[in-house]
Amino acid sequence: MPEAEVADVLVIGAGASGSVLTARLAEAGVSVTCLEQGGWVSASEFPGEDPAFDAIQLARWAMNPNTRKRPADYPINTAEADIWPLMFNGVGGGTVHYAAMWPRLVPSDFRVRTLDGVADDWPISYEDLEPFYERVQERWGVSGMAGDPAYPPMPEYPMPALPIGLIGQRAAAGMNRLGWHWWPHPNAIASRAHGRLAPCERRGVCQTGCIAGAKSSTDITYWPDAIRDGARLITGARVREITVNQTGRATGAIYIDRDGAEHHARGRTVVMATNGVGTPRLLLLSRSTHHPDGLANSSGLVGRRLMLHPMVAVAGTYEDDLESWRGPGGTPLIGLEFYETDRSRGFVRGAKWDLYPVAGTLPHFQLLHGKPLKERFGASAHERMARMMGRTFLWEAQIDDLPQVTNRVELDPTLTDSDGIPAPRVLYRVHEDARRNMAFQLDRMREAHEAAGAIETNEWHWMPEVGWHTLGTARCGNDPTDSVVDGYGRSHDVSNLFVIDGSVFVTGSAMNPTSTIAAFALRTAEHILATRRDS
Amino acid sequence: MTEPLTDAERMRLAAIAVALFPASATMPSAADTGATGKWLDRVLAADPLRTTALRALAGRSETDPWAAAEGLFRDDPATFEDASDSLVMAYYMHPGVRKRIGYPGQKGQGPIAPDEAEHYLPDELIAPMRSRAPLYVPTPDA
Repeated sequence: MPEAEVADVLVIGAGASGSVLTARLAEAGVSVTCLEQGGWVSASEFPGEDPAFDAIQLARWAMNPNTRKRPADYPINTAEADIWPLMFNGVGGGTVHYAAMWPRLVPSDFRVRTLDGVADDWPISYEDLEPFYERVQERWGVSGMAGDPAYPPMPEYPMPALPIGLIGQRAAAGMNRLGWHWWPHPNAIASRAHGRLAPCERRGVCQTGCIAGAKSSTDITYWPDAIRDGARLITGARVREITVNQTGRATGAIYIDRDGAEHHARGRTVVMATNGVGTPRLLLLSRSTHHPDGLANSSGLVGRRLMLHPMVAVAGTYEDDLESWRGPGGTPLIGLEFYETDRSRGFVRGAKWDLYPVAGTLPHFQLLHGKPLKERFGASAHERMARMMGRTFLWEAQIDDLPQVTNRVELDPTLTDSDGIPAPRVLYRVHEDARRNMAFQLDRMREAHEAAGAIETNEWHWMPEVGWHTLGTARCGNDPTDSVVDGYGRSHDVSNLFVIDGSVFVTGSAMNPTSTIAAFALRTAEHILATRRDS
Repeated sequence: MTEPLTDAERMRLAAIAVALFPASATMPSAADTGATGKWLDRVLAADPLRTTALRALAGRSETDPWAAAEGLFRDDPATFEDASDSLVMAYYMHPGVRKRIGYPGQKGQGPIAPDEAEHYLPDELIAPMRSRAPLYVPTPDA
């Protein structure tokens, strides 16, 4: 097996966290090699302008790797999962496919045990991450408006907020009538030219890749600089094992290239950045004499405490043409009225609301799935479409589903990827508390639409294909018996091994996690630099 | 490998598509737009696996096209939704149909104008939020 030169740091995964850490270390002169199982994605592949956009985004450009089945994807057994993990495997990782929503966690998200008596506190606080939130949003390219009363004071964003559009105006007016919180949502989408980002054209197809080049994905905003600064990015490199030496320290990774040849990439420090499914999969695959239950798994928590955000939505249809097909999609508004715990509601924690445009034609009919045919087809079809097209938008609630050790990623006994490597199996059941939360939010979202003047509402009570945020499977903490890594992502068991993706989350919050993942990764990068200098 | 739809299956789907999307005073029928021809080809090119549900719909024993749709919806709702989704996408892919429903597609609108954000967000709209007390719970030990 070919042996490469030893890099100072070997990073597995070129998505959000791996990009941030690699770029920072390379900028500081550290030799970094990054292994990425996928390749570069060209904007010419994005389907947003194709008339068959609806069909393409549900098939070869789907967010579910089990549906998409690109060569870089690996299968996931979701037969026993209420929610199915979504991801993208390639340079930029999930940021190629994400909606680019950029909310921070709020301070209470880090102190759920202290404040609510359930789950656990993080070993770090909002204040610990705050300076890193501010640094990453500048480079990442975030548009937003400071002053949100749901957050501690923060400086202005690098760019002004995106236009909230007619749907935002209508929704905000309804929320004002109810006295409920809303604010222009921060998005990692350029409202004007910023670095390598072009200004947004409000196409509304953010989640299938931005044709305009306005959405900040790290293949655009981080990797060109990282490579310029000397980082080595190896694409098409599917890792099957993290290797260790006789003392149990990490030495590198064995990967398979696209010609089927095995290689050993070596690093003095190894950093896992392959998301909340991929990271536990690789750690569990890396069994050895020193680590018989998988690497960094003396706590038994690798793969455990998986958190995925359940989502529910209510579509409101209005009399006026609101151009509700226009972006960002992305989201123009955030609603946090029901985010913090209020036990009188019958559950702890809460939900984040997002306002969504409706891109394409098919979703208008999907909203009516299950209804009698005569209400949606035949003589009704044209009346329904005329009533809904451009006049329908969604409030969607993203639910905080607290960690359960039974929700987990493990290795499937039979399913493998195209290289014969055992695939992950996900076992996930939404907690009863979260189900009560979902029911509560559905009622409130319907009220929000009614207050805004909706003439009709339709609900999505249950959506399994919403596991964008894979969190918690290598949680951070101070106690090695009850956590996998410390507050910097360093393994308690293997001192030269770090985890920096969403696996480190202690609680999932109800926020889109990318800003926190990026801030955590940058903080870890600075820690690695500081401890290198110290040593 | 999914076998392509046969001509007979296409003809049957065309009849069912007209039942689902008949002509109206303002809208063409599915037959007028050739929905089950080149537009359905576009759908199936994007996702060949959709052929299976369409074949199930085409193979219904009911003679009447609407009854065939009703029958599949009753007996196998998931397959009906899959098949009808394909016909919905095919019908609304036609440029003339899109024009009639006022849908321009997910086209670029040009860069955001300098005053566009302010236009949609007048001071009086956001004033109630600016004057709200903080909602967040501070870090207890900060």
